[in-house]
Amino acid sequence: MNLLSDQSLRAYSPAACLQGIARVSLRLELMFLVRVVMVLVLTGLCISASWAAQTTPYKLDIGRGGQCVKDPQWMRKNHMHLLKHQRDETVHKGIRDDQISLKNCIECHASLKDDSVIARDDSFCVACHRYEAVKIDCFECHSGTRKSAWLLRNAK
Amino acid sequence: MNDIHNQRRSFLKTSLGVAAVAIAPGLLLFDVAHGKSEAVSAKVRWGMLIDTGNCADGCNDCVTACNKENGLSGGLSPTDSQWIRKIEIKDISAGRAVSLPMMCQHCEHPPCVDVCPTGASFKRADGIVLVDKHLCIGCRYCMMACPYKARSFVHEPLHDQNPDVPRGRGTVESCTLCVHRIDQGKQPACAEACPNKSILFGNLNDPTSEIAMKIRTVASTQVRSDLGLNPGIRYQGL
Ligand code: SF4
Ligand code: SF4
Repeated sequence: MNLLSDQSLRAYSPAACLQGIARVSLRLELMFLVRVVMVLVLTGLCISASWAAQTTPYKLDIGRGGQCVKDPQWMRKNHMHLLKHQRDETVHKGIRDDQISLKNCIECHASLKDDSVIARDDSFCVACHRYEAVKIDCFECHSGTRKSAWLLRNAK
Repeated sequence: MNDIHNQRRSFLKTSLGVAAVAIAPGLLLFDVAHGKSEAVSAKVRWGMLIDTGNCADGCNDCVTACNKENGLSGGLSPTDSQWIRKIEIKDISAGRAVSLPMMCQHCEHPPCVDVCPTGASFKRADGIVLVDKHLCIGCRYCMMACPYKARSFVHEPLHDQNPDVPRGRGTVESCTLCVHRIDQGKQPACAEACPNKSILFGNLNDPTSEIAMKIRTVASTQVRSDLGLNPGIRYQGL
């Protein structure tokens, strides 16, 4: 019968079965290798990501810099909540002496070259928000200039 | 809510303390001389007594000082912001004319706050009427509601504002009684600038303050007192 010569029936012969097992174990070995490679690649990615978290992938002028509220990574994630909280405290209740006021942020983070957090592509607020594609309108009303410098410039 | 705020505040203060220690001496990276950390309270009601008898006809010093302090252009076109103006009023039958500064009267029952659809217009606990520009949508209802024509709308983009006085296009603004100066313990710029000391600024709620004592002894009026808004600005010699 031509059925016996059919390819699909060959697998049922004992010899073919042995061959099949060998092929399966080879495949398992390959898959194991692939997994090892993937784990290595992922670890590499994680390490480079954590390096990236310590620096920034773009050019950033942090001005005088320093840390007075929380560590940089925390601030990157949460500064907007602090600012929004403080803005209501200040506008509605007149509470003004906190270090989380926008003015105090600017005082330290404005560039030492032009006293601004918004003047150039690598200015403190601009560089990051441009990289993250987050448009802010704070500086349509608020001054982006270090207050001490503004006062000097506008002194009589 | 307040509890959470307070906790966060004290937590931040603690971490600040740590940061201040960690940074080298002489390198304290922040400026703490900004004002009080307590919320303003209704124990205070800021007000002014303006002596029209002393206010010189033709003098514009309070207006100039306000413009400089708050970064106003000083222009007089319908689209320029004016927070304070000098006006002349004349009793036609008697012929007596007086010159006086007119600005937001910081009403106790402000119609601008009543009509504001967003809650942007508000009265601070110490009686100062302000616009929270984060909330203002520029509808200008408050400008219509104010009987004293005290408010202005910002039509053009602004640049290089005073860091203490944020102002911007698309929002309504008016005299803030120089709230940023008051919170630092200073007087409003107009009161300080008046060469004739015609503007007396102080706490109406404190019976021993100069303004409260003067109001008790000399005749003073509130403009359009018939409206029952109880303005914090009073005029003497009207
Ligand atoms: S004077 Fe006008 S803007 Fe000022 S509080 Fe009264 S209603 Fe509001
Ligand atoms: S213009 Fe702004 S402050 Fe005035 S009523 Fe409208 S939202 Fe309120």
